[in-house]
Amino acid sequence: MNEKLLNKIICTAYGDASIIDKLHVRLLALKNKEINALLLEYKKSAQLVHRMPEESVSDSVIRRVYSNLNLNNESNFVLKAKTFSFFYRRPIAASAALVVVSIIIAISVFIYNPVHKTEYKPEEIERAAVQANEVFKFVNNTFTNAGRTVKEDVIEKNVNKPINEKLNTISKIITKGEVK
Amino acid sequence: MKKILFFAFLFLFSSACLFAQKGNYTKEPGYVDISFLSEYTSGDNGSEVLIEEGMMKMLAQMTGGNDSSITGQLKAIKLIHLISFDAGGDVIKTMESKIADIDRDLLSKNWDRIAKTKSDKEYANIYVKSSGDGKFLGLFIASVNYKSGKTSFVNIVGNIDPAVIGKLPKEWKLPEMLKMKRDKNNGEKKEKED
Amino acid sequence: MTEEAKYKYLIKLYKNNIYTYSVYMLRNRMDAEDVTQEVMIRIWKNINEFNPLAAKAWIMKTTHNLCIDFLRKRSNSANKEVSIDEQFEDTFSSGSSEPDELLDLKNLDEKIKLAIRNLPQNLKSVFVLYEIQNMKYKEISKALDIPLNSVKVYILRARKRLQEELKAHIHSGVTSNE
Repeated sequence: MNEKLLNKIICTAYGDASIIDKLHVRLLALKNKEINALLLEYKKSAQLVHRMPEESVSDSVIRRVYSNLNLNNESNFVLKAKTFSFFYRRPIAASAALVVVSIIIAISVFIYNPVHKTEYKPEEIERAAVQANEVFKFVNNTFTNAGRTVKEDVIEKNVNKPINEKLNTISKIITKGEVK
Repeated sequence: MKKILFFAFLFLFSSACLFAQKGNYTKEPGYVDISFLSEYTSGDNGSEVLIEEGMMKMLAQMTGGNDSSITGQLKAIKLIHLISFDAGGDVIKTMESKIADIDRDLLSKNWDRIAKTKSDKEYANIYVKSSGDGKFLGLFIASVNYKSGKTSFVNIVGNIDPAVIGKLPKEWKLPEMLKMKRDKNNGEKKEKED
Repeated sequence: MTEEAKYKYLIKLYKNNIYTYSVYMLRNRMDAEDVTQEVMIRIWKNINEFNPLAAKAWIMKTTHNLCIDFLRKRSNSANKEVSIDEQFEDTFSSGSSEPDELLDLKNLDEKIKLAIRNLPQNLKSVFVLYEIQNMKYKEISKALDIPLNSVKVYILRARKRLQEELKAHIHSGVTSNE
C-alpha cells in the first residue's frame, strides 16, 4: 500500500475522487480484502463527518447586531435576491436553466423560423423579376394618375423646398423693391 | 464555471436574435399587413405577389450594369407584396370600408398619406413611411378602379428612393433579358424537335 | 437592491457558516457568538467594498482572522476554556429521556466534534470549511490565503488524523449505511 493509493482510497471514501480513481479503487477493493476494509473504515468516518449539522446561531445575536447598527429587525427579503440566489448558488439550476433556454431558442429558430432558401431556380428568378417589374409599373401609374403634383410634392418637400423658399425670398426683394 | 455558463447563454441568445431577425420583415416600420386580403385572390379571380429580401438581392446581383442606383434600390427592398383581384358590386363597397380602416390605422402609426384621390373612375390612397432624410422606409398603395373593378393593394418595404422607383419600369432591363433568354431557349428546343 | 436588503440577505445566507466555523475554531459557544457578532458588524461596514458574488470567501476570511486573533488573546489570558463536549455533558446530564439509539448517535456526534476539535489548527480550518461548510478548494484557498495545493494536502492529512481519532469509536459498532 503506497501513499498515492491510500490517498485515492480516502478520496473515494469521501466522495471527491475522480471517476477513474473511484473505479480503480473499487476494483482493487473487490480483489483485496485489506483495501476493502480500509475503504469501508474511511467511508464510515466520511458518513459521520458529512452528517454533522451546521451550528445555528441564536436570533438574539442577530437582533443585537441589528440593534447596534440601527437596522430594521423585520425580515426584508426581496424575491429577486432569493431567485438570484437559487440560480447562482446552485450550478445545476443555472445549467438546467441554460439547457431549457437553449432548447427554446433552437426550437424557435429551426422549427418556427426556418432558414430561408437561398438557392432559386431560373424560372423562379424570372417570375420574380417580371412580377417585381409589374409592381413598379403599377406604382408608377398610380403616382401618375394621382397627378404630377404628387411627385412634385414628394420630391419638392424633401429636396426643392428649401431652395424654393430662398428663391421666393429673393423674388420678393426684387419685385417689391425691398433692399436690406 | 458560472462565467462560462453566462457567456455561453449570451452567445446562444445573440445568435438566436441574429437568426430571428434575418428575413423578418414584419418588424420593419414600412411593413403593412395585408395578408387578410389573400382570401379574395382565390381561383382565377386575382393574384398575390410576395417577393422577399433574398430574391430581391438575387435580382440586384443579376442586374449589375452601369446604373448602380437601380442595383442599390433593388438590394434595399426587403419585401414586395401585391394583392390584386377583380371586385364587383358589394365587394367594392367592402373594399372602400377596408381602405378607410387601413387609412385610420396607418395614420395612427405615423404614416404620411401623400395622396388621396377619389373620382367616379378611381379611388386611390398612397402612403409613405418616412425615414426623415428624404427617403422612405415603406410605401403602401390601396386602389380601386370602379370601371374595371380591379382592386389592388401594394406594400413595398425597405429604403425606397422615389426617384429610382420611378425610373425602374423603363430602365430596369433584367426582366426583359430573362424573358428573351427563355424565349430563345424555347425556340432552340422547338428547332431540335423539328 | 438597497444596502440594508443586501446586508440582511448576506447575513441570512452566511450567519450559520460564520458561527459553525467559530465554534470549531474556538471550541466555545460564547466566544463564537462574540466573533460572529464582530464579523457581522464588519460585513456592514464593508457592504460596498466587496463584491456580493464573492462574499463567502471574504466573510470566511474575516471569520478565520478574527478567530485567530481571539485564540491569541485567549492564550495570553488565564481564563479557563469551556469546551463543547463539556457544555454538551452539562445539557445532557439534565435528565434526558431519549431512546438509547438517539443517545448513541448524539454521543457519536459529540465524539466527532471532539475529534475535529483536536486537529491541528491549520488542518482543522481547512477541514471544517471543506467537509462541513462545503466550500470549494479555490474558495478555501482565497479565504485562508494559502496555495491551492496546500488546501488539498491539508484535507488529506486532516482526514487521516481524524481516522486515527475515530478508529476506536468506529470499531465499537457504528451503523453503516451501505
